[in-house]
Amino acid sequence: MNNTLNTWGFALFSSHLHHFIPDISWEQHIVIFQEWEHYHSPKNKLLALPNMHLSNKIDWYGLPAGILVLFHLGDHLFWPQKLADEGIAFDLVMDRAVWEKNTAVLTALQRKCTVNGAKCCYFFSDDPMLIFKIKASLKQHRHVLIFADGTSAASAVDKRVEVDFLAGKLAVKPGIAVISYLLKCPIYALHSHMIEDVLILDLMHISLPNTPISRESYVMQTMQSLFAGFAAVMQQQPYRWECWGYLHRNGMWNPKNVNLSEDEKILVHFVKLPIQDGWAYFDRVNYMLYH
Amino acid sequence: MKLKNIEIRDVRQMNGLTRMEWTELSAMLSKDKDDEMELKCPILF
Repeated sequence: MNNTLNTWGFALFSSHLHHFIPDISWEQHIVIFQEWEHYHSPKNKLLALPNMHLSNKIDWYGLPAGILVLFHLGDHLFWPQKLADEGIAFDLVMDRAVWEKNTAVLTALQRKCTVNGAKCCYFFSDDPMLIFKIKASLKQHRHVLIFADGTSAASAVDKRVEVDFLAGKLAVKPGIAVISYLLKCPIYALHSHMIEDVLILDLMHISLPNTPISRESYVMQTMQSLFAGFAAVMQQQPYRWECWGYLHRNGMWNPKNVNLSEDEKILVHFVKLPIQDGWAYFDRVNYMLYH
Repeated sequence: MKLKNIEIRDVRQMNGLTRMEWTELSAMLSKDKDDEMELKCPILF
């Protein structure tokens, strides 16, 4: 029996992958899972600063101050340092729970993210003064870096909007678009792509609230665009999204909402998993356990 | 929780088993955290 196949980690990864990219065959899931495990593991030597470069097609220093958006593509903690190393000044918004859980790592990162003697500031998403702090950063020609995906489910105020994502929908926090609308600042969606063994950070999409549309419309359009661009990356390299592993825990996707397809039960959908005192069978299409 | 002594070879055999839906299942998983892995980067947000 293949040990990798008989784990909750694989079973849930595979369920999520099937729900969002149903065209991928079940047989291919184990290959993508192993790629994903290797890519995101601390042993992956590819994910290191010397292998990362900012695209030379972008005038990084000419961009008006705005919101830099990154996704959890495994390299997400390296890019802040790379941006700082290249002299691009920014502050970073995060959930307080994230700071509390990763204080040592984030303190070390903050030390490394210094541009012209000015350290990157961390802002908390629940800070009532957040909008004013971001406004002050932009005024000083500093960008503000925000991660669009992955969203911790820990915050007390957790308003979300639903966006199309591949074959499903994700519940995402709309803060990026709301801030952009209120402060009339651009959003720069950044995605890294791999050329041979080098990761290149590129500007994929710019949103700018310069048309007379309502806040609600702008927020929806913008979040939809951000995730449409991200979905295109996922279609090509699904193993790069760290969130496949914990999508059911961060509030972006609730498997309870899956449309049950009881008539389409096929043996290949099931993964045999260990439970307390024996084995059970997990239905990867319907997120149900039989024991 | 007791699993019946059965090796599934046909989905019709599922009919005789107890079914646990996602709400209950996710509560069980969050206690065990069996689905976690060590990541290169800590989870942000």
